[in-house]
Amino acid sequence: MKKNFWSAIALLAALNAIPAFASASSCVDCHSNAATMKALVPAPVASSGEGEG
Amino acid sequence: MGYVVDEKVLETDPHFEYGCSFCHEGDSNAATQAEAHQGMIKRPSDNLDTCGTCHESIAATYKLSLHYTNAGMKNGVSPRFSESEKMVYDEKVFEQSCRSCHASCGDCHVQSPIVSGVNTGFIAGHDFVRKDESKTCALCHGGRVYPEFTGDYGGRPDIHYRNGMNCLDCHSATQMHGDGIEYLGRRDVAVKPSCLECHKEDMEATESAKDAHESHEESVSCTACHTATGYRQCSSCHLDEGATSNPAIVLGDNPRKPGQLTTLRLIPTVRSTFEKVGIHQENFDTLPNYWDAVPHNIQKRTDRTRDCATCHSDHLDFLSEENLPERGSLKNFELVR
Repeated sequence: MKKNFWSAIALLAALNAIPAFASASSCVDCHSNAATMKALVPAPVASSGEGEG
Repeated sequence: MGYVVDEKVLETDPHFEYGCSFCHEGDSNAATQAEAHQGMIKRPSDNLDTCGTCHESIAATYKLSLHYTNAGMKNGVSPRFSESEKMVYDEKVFEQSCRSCHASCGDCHVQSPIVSGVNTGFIAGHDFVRKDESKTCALCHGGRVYPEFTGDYGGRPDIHYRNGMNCLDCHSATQMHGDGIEYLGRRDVAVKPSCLECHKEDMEATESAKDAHESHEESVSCTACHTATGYRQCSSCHLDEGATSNPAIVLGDNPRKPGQLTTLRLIPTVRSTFEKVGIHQENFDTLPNYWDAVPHNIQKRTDRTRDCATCHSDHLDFLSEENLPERGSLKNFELVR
């Protein structure tokens, strides 16, 4: 009984430790942060050329 | 910021249910940028099977659609070439240049298409949008069609735009996604806009309008009368001289429907266009330098609807031998009324 209790506590702790998708992904950490993205991604250079039809 | 993901979108859009790596691969749990981007796919929808995992039927028809195959850019000009020139064109021009413009799913539903190296990033923070014409269609079709439609080239905007319509109100999702048939060019597409879809016969408000439609319906296109102002006539695009164009209304015989007066657009292919790759266009005179065009600056009343004399005695804006382009196709003479 005591063992089951501590197992349940451990399971709950583990579940709480699983973050929601948004914070679990390292992609989102950078890609949702405007300042980080601005620092990491150079501004595009426009080339000369015509638009299409 | 062009490529910043909106976190709210991640919570609400079902596309993110399986995480970034489901489409982009890479390693979403890596600690560094370099590790995370190892094996990453920047544009997952370039492989249509990615979207096809869930949107199977759309991916299947889209593979054959003109936005993806760009077949019109090949078949529209190829009658000018000899058989050997066609092979050179396919290898050195079409595959290297024209086909690089093909749109994948993401170019219309996730990020704005990249045109001439200009990349404006996500349409809406990586939201998967159904449509946003001003950030998608307008970028590729911004040289002629869209600015004519919105009035950005001057004059009044198209009457449909002024009444709240945009591209997809006439150009259906079926037309965009394809119907499963691999067409040679856009004129062949079965499902395409038609004025008569909305403007049915006998809907005219006045007898004079009804008379005008009945007496001209076989011989004059809708746009010949209802194009309001000059639209882009392209002259030196694709020639390393920078794109130039001049607004004008040009009326002449429809090269695809002889006997019908319609609006024509000067197209940029001249005799020297492909000389750089050794194509001299042995059959250049097979096609004219003008194609029938549907300018997107339609108005109910124009100079031509107001006064019969505009066409019937003044021949205003009619193509004439004097204003044909120098060294143009001999076929142009057939379009002069």
